[in-house]
Amino acid sequence: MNHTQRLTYLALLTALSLALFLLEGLIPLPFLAPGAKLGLANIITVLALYTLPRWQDAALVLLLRITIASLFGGGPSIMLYSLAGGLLSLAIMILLKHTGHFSPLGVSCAGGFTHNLGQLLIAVTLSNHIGLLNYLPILGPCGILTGFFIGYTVWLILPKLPIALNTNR
Amino acid sequence: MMKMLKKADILLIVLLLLLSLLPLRAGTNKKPAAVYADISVGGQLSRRVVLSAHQGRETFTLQTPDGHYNTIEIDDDTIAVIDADCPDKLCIQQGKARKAGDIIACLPHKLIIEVKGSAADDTEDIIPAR
Repeated sequence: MNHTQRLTYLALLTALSLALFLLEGLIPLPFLAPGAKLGLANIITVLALYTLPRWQDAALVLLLRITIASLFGGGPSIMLYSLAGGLLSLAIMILLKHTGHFSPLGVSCAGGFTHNLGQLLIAVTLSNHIGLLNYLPILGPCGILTGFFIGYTVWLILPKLPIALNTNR
Repeated sequence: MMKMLKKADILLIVLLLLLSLLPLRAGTNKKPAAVYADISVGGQLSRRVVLSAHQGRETFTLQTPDGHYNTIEIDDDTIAVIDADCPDKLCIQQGKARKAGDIIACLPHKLIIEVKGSAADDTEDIIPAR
């Protein structure tokens, strides 16, 4: 990937993740627990992790999406939750992918779980209330389930991408 | 095409599920003698309400330090947030809490309502290592 291709691809991924973020806001969901959502934009995070040669670029796409999405609505407090969940989940996914033992599906399940765990931990820190961890039995499996569907989507997308993007599997 | 799920993936998912259930470890099948709700704002206990044997309906409004409010209703032995000026209203959607271990959170206002049981079998310390 040369410099222009990389720039274009990063911009494309960021735009796609923002579109998915806004699309998700239009889908009504039953209330399960505070913070439980589909996380459609994370399809792009996982896709970025599997198609970009450097994990730093996947992190860049994630940070850009969180920053711009917070400007669309949410504000600093929501941004803090997104950062905690997003960064913890990306870090774990990078590590698991690096081991080479897991498929994108397993990596994504762990990403969904740690995303919710990160948000719960920041909620515990901000509210100084350890009892909030009682939400983990709901939020944990929710994260695994959404992570599974995200991983499945990425697993379907990967073989259909141009060969130039598939060097990193 | 690569395999969709490897053995390691399934192990990973099972491990994550077990991790999720960790906070339930202490199980709360014993019935506590008295049930009360601790309402705290920003980690500071602001009010304690006894729920067991509570009769009738009682409503009060809590002001947060930054000028917002949550209206809380005690209806017999249940507690619920019925009105608030937070952006997401998730505290209202969480409905009524009754049993020890139930929790209602309004994260934008840092307000937490935690139902606890007292006496012989204290369910307070569900999470180890406070």
